[in-house]
Formats: sequence, structure tokens, C-alpha cells
Amino acid sequence: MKKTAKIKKEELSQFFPSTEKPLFTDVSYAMFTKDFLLGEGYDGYKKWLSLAGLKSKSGRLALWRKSWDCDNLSFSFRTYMNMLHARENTHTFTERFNKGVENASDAEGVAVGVVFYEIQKRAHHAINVAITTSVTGDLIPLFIEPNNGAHVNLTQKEKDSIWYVNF
Amino acid sequence: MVRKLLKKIFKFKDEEDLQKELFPKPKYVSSYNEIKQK
Repeated sequence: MKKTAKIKKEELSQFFPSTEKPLFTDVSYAMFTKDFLLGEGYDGYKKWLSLAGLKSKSGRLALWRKSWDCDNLSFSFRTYMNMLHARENTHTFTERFNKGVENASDAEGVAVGVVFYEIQKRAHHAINVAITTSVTGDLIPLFIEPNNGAHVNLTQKEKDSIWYVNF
Repeated sequence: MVRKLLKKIFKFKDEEDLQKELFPKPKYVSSYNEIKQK
């Protein structure tokens, strides 16, 4: 089986030059495609949340509420994407050795993180960032608003204000 | 009770169907261009 691509934490940190100490809790990261993250992946996340009674009201896209706000949304989105990665790669070392089976990926985690940045003076916001590829195959940071699954274009000023990164 | 509710919400046929609905198979990036050092 052909292994999927993976990226090391040192490579990930290059995308956040303004952040003093980005946090990486795994050594290597697999990457999901942009289409999957914004499409099927986000749809699954919404369904997963709705199991806990956290769903959008009256047809609105937004999942936000005061007790379930941007930090909760972004951390849960990151966790959910890591759950998908874990479910897809279940073979243990022993199984791989004894049975010759392979996982799709041997990366420890998936490159979906949480960032906090400044939206106004003294107002901060948490969203997700996924490292994925552009149509030309270059690695890009894809900022995602977990409240509605939209791709967010951060301004350079906003990128420079990112003070927390956690993959 | 929960199972009934889930069936109503997601219209899943069985456990496997439910899992597929809640946890789609991820699509991975298979390759990428090398990062150019800045």
C-alpha cells in the first residue's frame, strides 16, 4: 500500500514565523485534502456535534453559542479530525509485523491545528488551520472557521498577530 | 432510546451505517512539492 504524505513538526512551524512558541504534540502529521476538510470532513464534524445536542438552530449554519464558542469549536474540530485519522490507521506494530498489514499513514497526528489571533485591539478569536496542498501541490495553511466550515482569508496583519498555535 | 433517536435523525440502517455517517473516510494528501527554504 502506498503511504500517504506526512510532514514533520519542524516543517509545520515554518508557517507560523510570528508565533514565539508554536505547540506540537506529535512528531509527524498526515494531511487531509482541502476538499475533504471543507466538505465531507466538516459535514461529519457537524453531525458528530449534533449527537451532543450542539447543532445549528433553525437552519442557520452557525454552531456558536456563549457556552460553546470559538475555542471550544476549534479544539473540538481538531480532535474530530484526529479521530478520523486514528480510525483510519488502526493496525498496531504487532499486527503489521505478524500479518503484514499496513496502515494508510504512519503519521502520529493530522495537520489540523488551533490558532488564536487578534481581530481587534484586545479582542481575540480562535479558528483552525490545516496544512494541506494547493492545486499546484505546494503546502499551504488553510484557515477554517469551525463555526460554519468556511475557508477564511486572514490579512497579513492578522497572520502576524497569531500568538497561539497548537497542532 | 439513543439508537432510536439516531435512526430518526440520521436514518442509518445499522451500527456500521451510523459510523460511516458520523466518521467519513478521510482523503489524504498523497504528495507535495518540497518546501523552499526562505
